[in-house]
Amino acid sequence: MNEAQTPPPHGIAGLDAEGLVIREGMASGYGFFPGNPEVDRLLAMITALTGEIAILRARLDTHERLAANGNFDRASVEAYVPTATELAERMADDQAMIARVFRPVADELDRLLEDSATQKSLIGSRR
Amino acid sequence: MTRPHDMMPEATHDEAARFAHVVGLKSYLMRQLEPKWRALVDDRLAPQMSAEGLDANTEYRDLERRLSQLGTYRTWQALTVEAQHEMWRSVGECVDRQLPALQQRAAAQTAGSVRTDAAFSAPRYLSAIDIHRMPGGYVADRGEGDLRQGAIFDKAAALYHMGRNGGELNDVRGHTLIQHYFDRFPGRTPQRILDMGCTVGHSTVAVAKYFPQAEVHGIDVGGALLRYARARSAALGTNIHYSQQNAEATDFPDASFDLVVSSAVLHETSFKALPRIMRECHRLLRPGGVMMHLEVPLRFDVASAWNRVRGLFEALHNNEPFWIGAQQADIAGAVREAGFSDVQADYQPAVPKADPAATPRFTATPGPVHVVWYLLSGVKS
Repeated sequence: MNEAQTPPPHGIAGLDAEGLVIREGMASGYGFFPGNPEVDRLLAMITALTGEIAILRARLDTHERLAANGNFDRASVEAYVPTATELAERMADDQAMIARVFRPVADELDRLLEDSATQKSLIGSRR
Repeated sequence: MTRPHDMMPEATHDEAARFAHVVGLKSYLMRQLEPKWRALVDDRLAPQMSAEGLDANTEYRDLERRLSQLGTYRTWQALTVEAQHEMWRSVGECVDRQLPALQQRAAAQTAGSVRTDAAFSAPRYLSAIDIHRMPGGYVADRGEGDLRQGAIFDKAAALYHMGRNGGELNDVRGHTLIQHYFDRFPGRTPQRILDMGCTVGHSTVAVAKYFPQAEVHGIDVGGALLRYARARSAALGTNIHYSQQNAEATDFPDASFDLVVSSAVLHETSFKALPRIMRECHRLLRPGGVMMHLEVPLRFDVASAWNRVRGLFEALHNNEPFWIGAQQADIAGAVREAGFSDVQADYQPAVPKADPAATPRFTATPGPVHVVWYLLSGVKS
């Protein structure tokens, strides 16, 4: 197991008298890796980068489709609206891109599903 | 994409691409990664716990604490939160770029009315934190004429529901409420209708269109939401009256309405507020009047261990403080205590359009969110 050794960013939730879970810091933001906040920042950067790649790919797709009809300029790129079919194709490409970027997380989950030692550590014991 | 109404913010080529990607990212996290966590918890851990004499359903909090020690679980949590931040950031930038144009378009819409109150104070369960992590929450308001929060909420809600609530109109819940009304009370035509916790009027407009002769009101806690709601409703051809009020104690006279509804509002209140809202609904209805509340169809008693762990994530990290409380609350009991009769609380299948001739499909069988909604109704005798 390759686990962070720091405690989770919250205590176990208890409901208050009104039935609410209001945790300190909820409004101001916090990280999931309090001992290593760079991990939170890196994940945020990777997530943002996939967004930038997605936009580049959409722009390139627009260029390719417009190029099929000859001359076009920046204004025609800006004004281009994909058809429903084209949008569905783009979103399928985007899913594939996202799956490639976040593959290590999915792989680790698949591994956990077969990792009986880690599973044993997660089930706890009778108090 | 064609805009569904004149108030919807316009998206540039790149903004539209970014929105599609945010939906794709949320979809990947929910449909590709989350099922693996569900399989781990419900299919692997729960049976092993059971063999050890432990019950994963009752020990879900300890289970969540142990899962949170896994770097992979924290990564999934961090990515899910980051996808939500990306949604609010991308929509916020899009709205801010065109705020003056939106205000002009709102001024050109004349139907309906809006009454805000600068001295209004929202209840703690809505003001203490930003629900859904929406910066500023429901209450942020820059004052007279401001509609920024409403425009952001409208555009983001379509992304948030990922097309499962009626696309950019986000009105399936309104249609589903009225299907329930047609099923239970055929032939009735309410003259005065109130929608509590209406935000930008997604359900209010849908409800209003079934009863064009009715006077329709919507209340919410956010002034900027309501100013946008008024303009949006007008752009969609309805004439709705919005006011900034607390559903626990409104300023409408007794017996003001024939029908009082809400859509996915109760899980954003509190144990104290729930009975107060039910009593207020009772006060506001005329004898024979109908109250209907549509809610998230996740009840704790039928939730798997993963559903409960996922509920903790929603409560703690998507800033839904009453998420778990609401699923355990005896809402139907509060309704009966408030004096309602003919109380029903079950699942209403979601419909894109209500049909008075449809065969009633109200059912005791739970189903997934957006496929069915928990629907609670009662009559003031």
